[in-house]
Amino acid sequence: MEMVVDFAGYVVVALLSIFAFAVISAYAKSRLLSDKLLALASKEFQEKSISIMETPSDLPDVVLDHIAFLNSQAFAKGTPKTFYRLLKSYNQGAFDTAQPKAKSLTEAADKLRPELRELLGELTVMWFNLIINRNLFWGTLIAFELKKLRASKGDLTHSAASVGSTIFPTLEMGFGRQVC
Amino acid sequence: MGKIASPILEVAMVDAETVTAISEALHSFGFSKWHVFGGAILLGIIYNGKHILAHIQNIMSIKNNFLLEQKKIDAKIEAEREKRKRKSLKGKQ
Repeated sequence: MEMVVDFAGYVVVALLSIFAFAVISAYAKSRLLSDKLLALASKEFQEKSISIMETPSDLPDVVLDHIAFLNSQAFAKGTPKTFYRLLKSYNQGAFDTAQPKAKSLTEAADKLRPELRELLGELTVMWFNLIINRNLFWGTLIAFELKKLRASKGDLTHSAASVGSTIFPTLEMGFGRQVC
Repeated sequence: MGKIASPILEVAMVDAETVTAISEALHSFGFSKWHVFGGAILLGIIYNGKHILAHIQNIMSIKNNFLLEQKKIDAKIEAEREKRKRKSLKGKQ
């Protein structure tokens, strides 16, 4: 009997070892794939930033602060995790969309020329995309929350700036820094 | 499936006495089953070392490229803020 238990123990450990080996291999290879997506997302985000900054005099202060914030947080430590938590709270309706800072960015974005407004929406969507590809675990969770957001808000290009303006002030507080 | 199943079957078909003998030999050297498991994880990391190193290099290079471009955008934003500041000061004067 003791021999059988010992044998079963070895089988379990052998199975666990094979599984652990397979998981490590799959993770290493999938990270290489997600690196390509991250490089692409990062490039697209910066192309949009450069396009929108071609006419800086057309951008109100609050929009400039928004762009500076997106840039500063794109590769900051802990952004994917904090952003996921905030996005989840937003989807659960825990955010006050009428808070002054959110309102001022939404109003400023509404007053922009249509092409600039479109660019600002795309820039925020590109930022979401960049954050998704930064971390596999949090990225998957964020993608799931964004899917929910897309289901309730439709095309994110039009609503991203207003969603961002509601979430980002808290994101700033989450990092203990004020950009504006 | 075949790739994973065949080693499992091979392990399952090993004679129990041989397993006990291996187990006793490992125990005599101070190794337990969990050392074997830890060894598999270590082996996984070493085997995929090339990929893991490539990933670290990729991340560093993407981040560095991003930071270089970010500095240019930040400089533009700062220049615009300065311009507005000067303009508002001029307006006050």
